[in-house]
Amino acid sequence: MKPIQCSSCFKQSCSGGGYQEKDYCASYTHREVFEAARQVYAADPETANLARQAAIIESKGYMVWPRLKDTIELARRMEYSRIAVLFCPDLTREARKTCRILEESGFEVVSRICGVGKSKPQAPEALMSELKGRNPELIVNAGLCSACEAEILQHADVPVTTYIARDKKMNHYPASAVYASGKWRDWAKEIYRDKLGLE
Amino acid sequence: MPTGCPEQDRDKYSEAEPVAGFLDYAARVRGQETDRISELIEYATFRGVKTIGIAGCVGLHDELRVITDRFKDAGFVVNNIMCKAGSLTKKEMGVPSSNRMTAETGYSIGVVACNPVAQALLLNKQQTDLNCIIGLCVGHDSVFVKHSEAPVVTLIAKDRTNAHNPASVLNSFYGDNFFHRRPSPEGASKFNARRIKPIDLIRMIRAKRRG
Repeated sequence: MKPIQCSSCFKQSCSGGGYQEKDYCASYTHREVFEAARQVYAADPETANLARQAAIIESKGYMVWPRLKDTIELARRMEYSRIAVLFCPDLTREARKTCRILEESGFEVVSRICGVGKSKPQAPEALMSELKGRNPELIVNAGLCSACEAEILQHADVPVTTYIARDKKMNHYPASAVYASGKWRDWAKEIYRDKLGLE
Repeated sequence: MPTGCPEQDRDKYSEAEPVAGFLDYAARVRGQETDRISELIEYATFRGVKTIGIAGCVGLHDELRVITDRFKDAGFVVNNIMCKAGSLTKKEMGVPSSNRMTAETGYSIGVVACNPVAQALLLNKQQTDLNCIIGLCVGHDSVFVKHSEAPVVTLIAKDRTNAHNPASVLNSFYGDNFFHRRPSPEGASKFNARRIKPIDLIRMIRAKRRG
């Protein structure tokens, strides 16, 4: 099976309605999947509504709202009232402030640490079943490590959104690993110095 | 122990692990000082993952290329798919016309909507063992998680205002200012602004009548 590679594409004509006639382009090779996606939107009004509200919120606060404001606005527009915040013991300070801001915005907030105590994390399925007992309508992931996140969030039956991606080395800023890498520096040099003539 | 602390019911919880040795692994990883991409590669190796799927945002295409190369160097087969694939228009999604071509803040954002369901279905079709998200918006990532069969990990949480560092608003002046947690200089000047008196209104009306 040939893998789909959007990273090989430098045109991105799909954002204007087109496609490339190459074997890595999904818009060209996998037409039937997009028809299936259209049917999913038609059959599942909750999914369609969530995607629509997300598109509206992106337009409302483009380049102005921080991600937490986006989360609050999404919960308001979807009429959620109970929010659960999941976090790692390393991010207690961040999670506390997140919960305060959510409470001040008028939501009922339940927060849950990923394990019991600092010694050992809890079994993912048991944690999710306990959280279901508190009836949250939206789960905000405020910093779970990648292993816990992969195993815990797949048991959720309500919408899950990530607020912080936990990264202990980069102070919870995983994108900085990309921006500080050698490859990125070479591209920046190529673009800014050679093409644009800047120093 | 405070009331409502989950430590009280410790004995009642089951210790069912998704994979053998998962809890010990997670406890070990929690103390390590690794960055998130290395952490994910380590976890994928632990789970015996062969194929990794990446769902990305068009705005983070260069970041996607760097991360894809990183995963390929580590020996995985990588499928990656951007959010505008398939060109589903915002009109079909039911987005009102005021939010389509231009954002309300004045930037041009295009007429094609993001399509998280198609991303999830494509990666399901390619039979990926682990999916990761590079910068999906707030509602779109929940749709992707819902429709993805493989477990999902967020690699980068998108935040255009803060250069994809969403946690930075929590302990900074901008964040406190934005969420009304301290009186800002602008707020103070607004508070001290001269109030309009009735005589000013009468003068304004007279000036208007004169032309």
